[in-house]
Amino acid sequence: MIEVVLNDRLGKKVRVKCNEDDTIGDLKKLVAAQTGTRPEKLRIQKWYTVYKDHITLADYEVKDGMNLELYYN
Amino acid sequence: MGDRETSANDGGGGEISMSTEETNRLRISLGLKPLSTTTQPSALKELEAGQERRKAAEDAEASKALVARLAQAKEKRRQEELLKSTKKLGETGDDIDNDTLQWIERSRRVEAERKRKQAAAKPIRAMNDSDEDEEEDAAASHTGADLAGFKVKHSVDDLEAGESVILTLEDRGILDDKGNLIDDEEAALENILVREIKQREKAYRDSGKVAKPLWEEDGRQRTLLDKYDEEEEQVIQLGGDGSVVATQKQQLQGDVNARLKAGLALLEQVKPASDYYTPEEMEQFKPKKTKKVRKLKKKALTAEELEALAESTAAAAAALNQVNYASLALRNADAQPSTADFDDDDDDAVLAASLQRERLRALKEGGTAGADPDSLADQLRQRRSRRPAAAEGEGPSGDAADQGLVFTGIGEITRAIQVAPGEPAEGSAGQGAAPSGALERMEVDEAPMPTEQPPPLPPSGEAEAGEAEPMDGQSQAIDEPRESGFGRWAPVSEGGSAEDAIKERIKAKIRPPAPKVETGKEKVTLQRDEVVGDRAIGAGMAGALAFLQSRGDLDTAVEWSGRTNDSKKVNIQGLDEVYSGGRTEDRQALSVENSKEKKRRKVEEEMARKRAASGAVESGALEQMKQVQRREAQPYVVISGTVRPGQSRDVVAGRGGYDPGDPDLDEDGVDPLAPRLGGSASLAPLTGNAKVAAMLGLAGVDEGGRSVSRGKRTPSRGARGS
Repeated sequence: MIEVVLNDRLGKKVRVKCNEDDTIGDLKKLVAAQTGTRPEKLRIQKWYTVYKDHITLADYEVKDGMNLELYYN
Repeated sequence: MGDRETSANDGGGGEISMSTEETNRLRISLGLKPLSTTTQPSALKELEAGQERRKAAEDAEASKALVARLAQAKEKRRQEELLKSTKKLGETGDDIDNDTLQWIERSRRVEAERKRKQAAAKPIRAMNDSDEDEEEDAAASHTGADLAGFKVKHSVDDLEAGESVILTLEDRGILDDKGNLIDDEEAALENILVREIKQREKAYRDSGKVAKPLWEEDGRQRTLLDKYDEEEEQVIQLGGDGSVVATQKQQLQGDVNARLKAGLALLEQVKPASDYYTPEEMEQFKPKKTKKVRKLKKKALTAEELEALAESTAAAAAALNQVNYASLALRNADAQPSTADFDDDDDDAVLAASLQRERLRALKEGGTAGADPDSLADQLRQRRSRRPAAAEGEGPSGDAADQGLVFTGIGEITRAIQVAPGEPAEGSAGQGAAPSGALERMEVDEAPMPTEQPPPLPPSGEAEAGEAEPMDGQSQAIDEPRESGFGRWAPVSEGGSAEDAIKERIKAKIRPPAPKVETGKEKVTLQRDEVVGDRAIGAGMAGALAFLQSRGDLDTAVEWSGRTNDSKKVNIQGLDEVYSGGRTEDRQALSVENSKEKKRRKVEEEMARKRAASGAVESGALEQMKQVQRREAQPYVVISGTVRPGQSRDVVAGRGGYDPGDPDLDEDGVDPLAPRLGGSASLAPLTGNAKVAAMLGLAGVDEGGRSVSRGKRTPSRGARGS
């Protein structure tokens, strides 16, 4: 279980606990449940790299405590 | 993380986070499997550990930076103090002398101190001390012995014997390739100028402008890139007393050079056989001439005889005569067997011999050499008459059959000559003119010599028909004193001008008058006019002119071009009236055309004449047609009628009023003012009545349809009827 921090530059910072083998899509669902938006409206980026929904966090090498960027479509 | 109790939404500090249980509940509601708990603590620890380490490092760096800054500040302070201690430009200190006296004192003081130091340090000091001051001091006490062991960077060849050269220390760097200090022990001396010269030579050689031989004298073979090879240094070692210690290598070199020179000298002694004969060897191929000394002897003899004769008195004349006869006989006897050789010898020699004989004869006769032409003639006649007697008496040939016949080269040639045209019975008639002409020419060029044929020609000539009749004629000519003949002087006053006399003489010679042959032979007359064959062309301008005259080319008047014609009437324009007379007013009315016509005619005449002279005349219908075409600039020829440009055929039938004698038309029948039908080119083509009028040659077509006959045509038409 890792904890990922997603930062929306507009003042929203979300800490999410998840497994390494969760996909980005699952992460988005979790984030959406916490922030109150819809998961399909979210875009998770790491400096111009838009993370795709079907790839797991382990494949993206997202470690514990990593900061990701949160954007809205 | 599991300890933290946070609500689903806002945690502390605006952070949204959920606890593990909540997250698990959420995940189950979403349909995801719950969180796996194994990995979490280690990751956290790692994170915290990493953070701590970072902090520690930062602190360490900070402390280091602080230390460095402190040290820097200290250094700076020190430098400042140093700077303060040094003098500025404007300042004056103790060692600056403002006064001359001060300076003098100072310098004395310094000098004294230096000497003291020298005296103290001298025994300790080594020779190659790097201290510059000490070296300078020692320079005065240097001797040749001090130079022992020094190397000089030139070869023995560069420095000439007896030459004084200034050597300086070679320039070198302080460090060598590896960065170590170069030991001063290996210092070398060199002459700067020689070094520079060598550098330049080397650069020139390397630039490739000089072709390098493949093999050097010392047997070293050059390769292509030899300029990049390292050159061995040529170094001399100086001995103790100034002598040069030659290295072993140089000695070897010297030996090799000496041996090579010796070998070359040996080679030169042995000359290889050349491909070509030497002049001496060429001599063997020359045909060896056997000189006939006979003639010389003869000449010598005759000269002697002449002298003897000259001094002789009348009393000795008889004896001399005898001698002469004998010599004559001898000579003739000699002449017989030697006639065969005469062909080889020059004709000049033969001529000289015969001349000599004549001179002798003249002397024998004792008379003055014929100053008087008449006496000369008498003498000749006498001689002729005497000759047969002499021949019979002496038997010059000693052979009855050969009596009067001497075969000489010229005689053989002339025997073949026949006088051609009048007598076809003769053998070779065709050769008549040329050889005779040649003979005549020969006579003209050479001195009047009596023929070699001995006089008994007339009698012996009977025996052989056609025996050198021209010779016969000539001999006869000589016998008889002709008024104008060759060999006779014709007085200038005789018969008109000298030119005419000369011409007459030449003509007479060319056409010799019919000689009176006592033997009753037929007259032989050479008539120039009947000669058909080639006449020999003389040499030079005279020959050329004669040739042209014979062709008849000189009869035609030559049309010269250039400035010589400037003053001729033909070319001066507008002066017809002046030359022909008459009033200008009358002429002017017709003058333009008349002069033009004349000029044109003259030009045409000249052209025709030139063409006739050059032989390129083709007068005929075809040629005339071509001329007309050229003139009209049309590919066709109008045989009858007039076709103006733009027309395809003559419209005489339509014209009605066309008058060939129309003064408006020029000679060719073309109206220069109307190149187009009924108008100038600039105007539009005619249509309708105007066109009809133009075609019909009328002034216009009336309204009533009647034609108005044309008067004098004007260049500009009025309004065109459309």
